[in-house]
Amino acid sequence: MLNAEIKILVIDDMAAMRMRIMNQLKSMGFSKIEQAENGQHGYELIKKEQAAEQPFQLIISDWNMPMMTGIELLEKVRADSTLTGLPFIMITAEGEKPLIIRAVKSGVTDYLIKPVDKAALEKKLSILPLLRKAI
Amino acid sequence: MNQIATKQNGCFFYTIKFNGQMKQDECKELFNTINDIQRSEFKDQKWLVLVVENVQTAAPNFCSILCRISSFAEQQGMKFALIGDLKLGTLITKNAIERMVVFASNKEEFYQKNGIDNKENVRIFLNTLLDSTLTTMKVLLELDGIKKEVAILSDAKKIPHIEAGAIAGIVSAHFTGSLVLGFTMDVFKKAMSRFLQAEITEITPEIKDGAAEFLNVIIGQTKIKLNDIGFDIRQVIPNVIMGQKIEITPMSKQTLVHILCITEIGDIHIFLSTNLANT
Repeated sequence: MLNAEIKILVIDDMAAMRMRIMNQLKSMGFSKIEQAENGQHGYELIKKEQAAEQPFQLIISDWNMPMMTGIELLEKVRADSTLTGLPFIMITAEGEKPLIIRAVKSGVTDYLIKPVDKAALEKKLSILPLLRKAI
Repeated sequence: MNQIATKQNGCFFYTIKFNGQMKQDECKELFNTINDIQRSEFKDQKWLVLVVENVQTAAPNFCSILCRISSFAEQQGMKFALIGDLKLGTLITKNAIERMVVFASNKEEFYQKNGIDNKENVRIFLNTLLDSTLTTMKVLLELDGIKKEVAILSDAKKIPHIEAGAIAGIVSAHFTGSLVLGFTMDVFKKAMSRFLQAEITEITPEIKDGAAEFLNVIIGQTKIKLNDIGFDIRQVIPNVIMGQKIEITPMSKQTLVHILCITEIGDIHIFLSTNLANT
């Protein structure tokens, strides 16, 4: 069982992909989901919600986006000492080894290569300690 | 320096990626590395091709190293070619070593200049594209048991019209072309309803983007598989195409390959237009 109480931010420049991921999360029981269309917008939302003491507890982001890419956002989040430990999952069409290595070195929590179905996403979420529901 | 060796179409490609600057000792090491390759690796290979990437300035000993590699290739019964930036081509001309080193600025030009059959690469690309398309349809649209038909379309009357889809240019080490994913509007709505897991009745700009994302995922899958074997596919961002009775017409001298996917929600079309599919 997943802890569906957590607050998630979905970042992708393609609205259709954001809608797909959000619908998948909703069908898993999550309701506190927000969205951003690029890394820049995503980072602003992360900081805004943090300041309002309603921080995001999980980031799901694409890689290739205008303004600020997913990897740039990841690096910015990891460099921010006030966001230590924030789980960051990358869902991207970029599946070449050097890119995955870069993401791992930058501190990505997990990495999924598109196409991603609900079962694969749910499996990745279920291994995050934060999402394991206390019995 | 990253180095990779691949064999394709009777050519032994040795690709080396520099960090902008080619140092003299790196250049010397390059010859030693090639010289250390097991001779059996060169069996049945007609060409030894050195692919040099990301070099702003060549080392002073680069041309003499090329001559040594050329002599080495000759001893193995192979011709020698260099693929790289045009600046390196100029260097070859300036040093008058064109007879020893055949220069091309990319693999496509190398194949064309030397009359090498590139059919195998197009076949590998098409098969991988087909696999990626089926995987993507299975995962994103939950479509199984898809029947597929592949044909080269030369008669414009037989090219099916589409009403929605996406287009992207493909640039790779072996060939260039354009890729189109196409649907009729009815099939597109059904596909997007499955993609978004919500019934779609109205086509909003966000829904249109779904076609581009779909093609993006297909190309992404294809890239992962082919770039490991030296295709070096670079992709431009897909664009959405939308309208009534859209006709896909290849440029003159290009061939249009049509992959028809017959699915339970209707026909889904993939078109690949490339100059090298003619081979």
